Amino acid sequence: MSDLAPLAYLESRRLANFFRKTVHDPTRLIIWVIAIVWIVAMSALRALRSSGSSWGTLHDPAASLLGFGSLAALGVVIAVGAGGQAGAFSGAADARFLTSSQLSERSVVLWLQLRNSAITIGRIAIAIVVYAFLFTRAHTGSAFLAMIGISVLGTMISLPSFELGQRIGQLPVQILGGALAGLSALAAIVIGGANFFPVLAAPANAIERAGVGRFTALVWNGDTLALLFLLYVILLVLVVSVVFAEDLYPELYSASMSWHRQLQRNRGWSSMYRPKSGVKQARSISTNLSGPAVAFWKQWLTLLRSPSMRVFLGIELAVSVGAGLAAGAVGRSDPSTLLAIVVGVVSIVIVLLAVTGTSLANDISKPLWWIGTGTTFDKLVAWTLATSVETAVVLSLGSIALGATYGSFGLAVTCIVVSLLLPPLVRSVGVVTYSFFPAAIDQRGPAAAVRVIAIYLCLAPPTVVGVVGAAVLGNGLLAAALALLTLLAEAIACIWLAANRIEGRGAEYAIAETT
Amino acid sequence: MNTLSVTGLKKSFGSINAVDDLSFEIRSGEIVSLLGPNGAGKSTTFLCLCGLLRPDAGSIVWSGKELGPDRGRTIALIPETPEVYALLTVWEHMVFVAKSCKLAGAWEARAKELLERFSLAEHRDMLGSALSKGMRQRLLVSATLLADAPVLLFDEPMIGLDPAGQRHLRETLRELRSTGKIVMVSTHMLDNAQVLSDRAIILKHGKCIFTGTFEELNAGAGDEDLESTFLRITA
Repeated sequence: MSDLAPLAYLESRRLANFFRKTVHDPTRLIIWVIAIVWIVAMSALRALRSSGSSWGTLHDPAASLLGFGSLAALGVVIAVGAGGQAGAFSGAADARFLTSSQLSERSVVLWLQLRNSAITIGRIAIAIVVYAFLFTRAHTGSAFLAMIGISVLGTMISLPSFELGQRIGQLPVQILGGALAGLSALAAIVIGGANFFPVLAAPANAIERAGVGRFTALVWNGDTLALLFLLYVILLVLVVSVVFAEDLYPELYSASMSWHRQLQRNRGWSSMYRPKSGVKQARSISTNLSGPAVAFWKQWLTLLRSPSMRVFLGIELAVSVGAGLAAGAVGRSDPSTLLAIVVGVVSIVIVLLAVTGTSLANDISKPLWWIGTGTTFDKLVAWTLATSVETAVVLSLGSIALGATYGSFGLAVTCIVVSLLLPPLVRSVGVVTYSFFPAAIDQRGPAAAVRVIAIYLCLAPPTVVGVVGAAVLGNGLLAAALALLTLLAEAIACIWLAANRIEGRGAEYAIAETT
Repeated sequence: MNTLSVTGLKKSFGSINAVDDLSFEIRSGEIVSLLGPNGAGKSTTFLCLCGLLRPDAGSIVWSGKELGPDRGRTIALIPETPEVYALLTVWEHMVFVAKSCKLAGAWEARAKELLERFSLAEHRDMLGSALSKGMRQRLLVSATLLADAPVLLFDEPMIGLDPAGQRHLRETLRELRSTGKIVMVSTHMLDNAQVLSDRAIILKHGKCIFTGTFEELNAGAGDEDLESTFLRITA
């Protein structure tokens, strides 16, 4: 226990100084106040709206789908963790001070696990309240506990996977994780596919009898035994990670530093850019684009030269088209369900895009950004559009699939228009939020709540314009066009405001973002 | 007299031999410069010595005792970019080092004295995020001395320091030598190395191609200056 006292001192002082620093900075204080008010208000709203209701509405196959989906994600974390993606140390200072201390490695690893879990709990707590409008039927307390438990398990499992990989070799652990992920994904596909292909009904029933769905429903419903079992698994993972923590610092240091370098790279412009390991040359590709529009060319090169980004895009496209086909098929027999699905998907896309922080430090801190022709506004518009293309294409293809199976050209066109406009709008809100609160810790934390509020506020004027326009003009198409123009004007206003704030202050923003 | 002996140190990354059968010995109270072109294996050597990289082979012995995985407690690295905790004050770094290294007795007086010596006393309540590179470097040196590590490795310490900072660092290193510490400095600044060091070790492709004093390095080079000699033997 004596080893834990210095570590407790370290974290308590860091936390105290964080609050002290935040309180002394009125701008940063505002965002935290907004987030806290939002969290409290949403928690109260949820408690009122969901009183008496529970997750009991989640039965198989939905429960099994969610359960196997979570297992597949854990399998991926195990495989990736064994491969060295274990960011245990919080940075170079952490590694330097802890590895040269007299504290035992086991104490340090125990502390790292607990600290990383606490950070995960903090982030999930914010994300949960951001989702408040979506899953109102979920029982508040148990849904919170279930999400936190599963997320903590996902955070903790990468370190023992890494340790095991160091002891018995990476490949066996990666195979184990890959097998868990693959089999779980296969189970989920069979269960999901049974709705469309009767031949899959029998195997789907057999898989559902495995009990994963029942366990998932029990956990999300707040069943004490199920939650205790989840806690037991978490503690088991913690114990395993501490037991294996011996003579581990060199590999843990390398893995942590590589993980942090990757996180640093993944912020901003070159999001997810990971060239193939060992490849140092690529065929040069020129472009006819000029001025700020070269942002599109740069984004295209990033996609071409990043295998991980291409794989991720492929998965996104497959999920989008699959979901579009499924929603269209369901909607043919029940149009009201189709509307609920479309509204739900739009809400989820908004939240997923909004919780992703904006980072411009990698771009605006470099002379390359500023020496190009065009104003800061032009460059920010190009940046916003270029970084939205991928999501817009993914959603548009899903919209085409939806329209094709539903059999409506009009529906497809409407959904495509929304798919093309939504990502840049959300990004522009992200950019203007960044121009007020650039610190990375704010972007990852309370700024998510602010972005969601801002997006909902931005959606209000176009809705009013659309409804009033339709009533006054008596022409739905014209009213919709006016609503879209209002949306566009808002996005432009957001970027204009951000450009005015950032103009000539690139280095200042980069420092503010990284400190 | 205490001695750091490194024998047959090897470290490879795939097919690249970053450190190839490196052996040397340094006595207490010596400053040794580790020189070599980019990619020669200087930083890899330092990371292996301080226990942040696992060597493929070789032994690291301090005062007759082979050091194990916990050698970071004996050999401290001050890296090229000296990182400190952004949200700890200067004084809190010292407190944390004292607690985590389980220092007994009058460590507070010693910590205060170290902060005075390295011109950090007046900044004791400043957060790590607000410190300049030179201040962070001095804080790491102070913390290392408080923990009483007998061997200090400085990786490219002069880069990013203004002339006053460089002079201050040179004085610090000499002071460390006078207190019996072993100091190794990895640098590209040959003039600084010559002024400061007792000896030099030159690496090329991970191998030691020279070890000795600067006089020995220049011997037989005629009118050739140090830079030309270095470029010739590392070409």
